[in-house]
Amino acid sequence: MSAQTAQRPTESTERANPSSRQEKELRDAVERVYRRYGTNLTAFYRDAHREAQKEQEKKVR
Amino acid sequence: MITPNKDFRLNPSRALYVTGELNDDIVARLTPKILALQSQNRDPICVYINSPGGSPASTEALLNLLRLSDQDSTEPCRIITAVTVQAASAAADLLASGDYAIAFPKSKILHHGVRQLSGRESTFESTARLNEALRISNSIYAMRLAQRSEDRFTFRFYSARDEFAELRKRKNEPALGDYECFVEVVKEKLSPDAGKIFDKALKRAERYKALFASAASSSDLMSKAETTQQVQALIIKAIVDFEVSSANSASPTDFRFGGMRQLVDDFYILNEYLTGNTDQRLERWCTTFGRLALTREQEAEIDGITDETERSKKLVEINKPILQPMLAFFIAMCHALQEGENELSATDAYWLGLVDEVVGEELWNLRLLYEFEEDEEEKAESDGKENTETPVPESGTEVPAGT
Repeated sequence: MSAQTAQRPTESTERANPSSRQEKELRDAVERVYRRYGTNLTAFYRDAHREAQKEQEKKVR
Repeated sequence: MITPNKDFRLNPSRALYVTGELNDDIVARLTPKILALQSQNRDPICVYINSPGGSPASTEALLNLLRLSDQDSTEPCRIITAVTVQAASAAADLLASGDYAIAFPKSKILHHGVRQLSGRESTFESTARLNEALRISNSIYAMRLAQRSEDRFTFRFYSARDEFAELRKRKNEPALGDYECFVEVVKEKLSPDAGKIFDKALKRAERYKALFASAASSSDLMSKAETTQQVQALIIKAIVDFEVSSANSASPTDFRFGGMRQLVDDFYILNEYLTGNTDQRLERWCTTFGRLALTREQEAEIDGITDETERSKKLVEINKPILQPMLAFFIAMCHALQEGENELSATDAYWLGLVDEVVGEELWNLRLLYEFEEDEEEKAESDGKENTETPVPESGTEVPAGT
C-alpha cells in the first residue's frame, strides 16, 4: 500500500540543479537544432524519429 | 544519424531495482550497490521503479545517497529513473526526481496527498496538529515536485509551441496567447481523468497568477528587508492585500471561515516563489530554450547583438513574460496532484511534464535533441524541403509576450 506519512519534510529549495557542464551541453544542443531547423521542432523530431527507426531496422537485420 | 548518449539511455549494467514498498529496508539493501556503482565511475545510474510507494523519508534518503559526491567532490552521478509497471505516491516522487525520467508505455503513475496512518485516540488538539502538519506537508511536497519537474515542463512548453500557429489558425483566433495555446494543445492530448486534474490546476493557476502579480508590487520592500521574519511579514501582508483587493472580488474571503487556511496555503506558495531563486531559474530557461520562441525579427535583432551578456538579457526580456504564467500553472498543477488520487498513464505523465520520455512513443524528448545528427546526404535533402516548409514564424504570427 502507498503510505506517505505526515512526517513534516525539511523545507527545502533543493533540487537536482544541472551542473554548469550539463547546462552548457543543453544550450549547445538547443542551439544546434535551432541553427538547422529554426523553431520548427516538428520537422526536427520527424527527422529524428525517422532516423531512430532506421537505426532500429538496422539492428533487427 | 542517432549517436546514443549515455546520459539519456537506460543501462541495466548500472542499474538499481526499486521494487515493493519504499522503506528503510530497501535503502539498506540498495546502499552497498549504490556505493559500488559510484566508486566504479561517474556514469549515470539507472533506477528502475515498480513500487506502490512508502515512506517519503526513505525516498529522500535514497535520493541523497544517489546524489553523493566523493572525496574529490566529483560531480554526482546522473540519475536516470524509469517506471516499468507502477510508481505510486513516494515512488512517483522518486521517478520525477530523476535527471531524466522515463516511463514504460503501460506503466501507471499515481500522485496523491500526504497520508498519516494513526491508530491512536484522537483529541481536538492532536487532530488540529495533524491537520496542520498534513496541509503544510502537502504544500511542501507540491513545491518540491514542481522544482524537480519544472525543467521538463518548460521544455514541454517550448516543444508544444510548434503547434500554436496551427491551433490559432484552426480556432481562427490569431491573437490567442502562448499560455492559452499551451493549455489547449496539452488538454487535447490528455486522457479524460488527467484532463480533470488539468482543469483543477487551471482554476488554481488563475488565482496564483493574480497573487504572484499582486506580490510583485512588494518585491522592492522585500529586497530591503533585513530579516527572514520581515520578508515573511511582507508576504503575509501581500496576501491579505490581495484578499481584500478587487483582484479577488469575485470570491471574497471571510477570514473567520476558511480564509486563514487559505492564507497559510498561499504563504507557503508565495514564500517559495519569492525566495526560492525563481528569477534565476526563469532566466536559465529563457537563455537555454529562449531561441525556440523567437520570431524572425527577434532572431535578427538578437543575432545583431555582439555582447553575449546583452544577448542573454534580450532573450530573457522576450521569454520571461511568456514563462511566468507557465510557471504559475505548473506550480498549481503540482498542488492539484496533491489533492485526491491522481492516476496517470505514461503519456499523461509525459504531457504534464512529470516524465521526459515514454518508451516507444514518438514524442518530443531531450534525448533526441542530444543524439540526432544529420548526415551530409540527409542535410542536402532536408535543405531542399526546408524551402517549402517554414521553420521560423514570420513576424506578425507571434503574440506579444505575456498575453
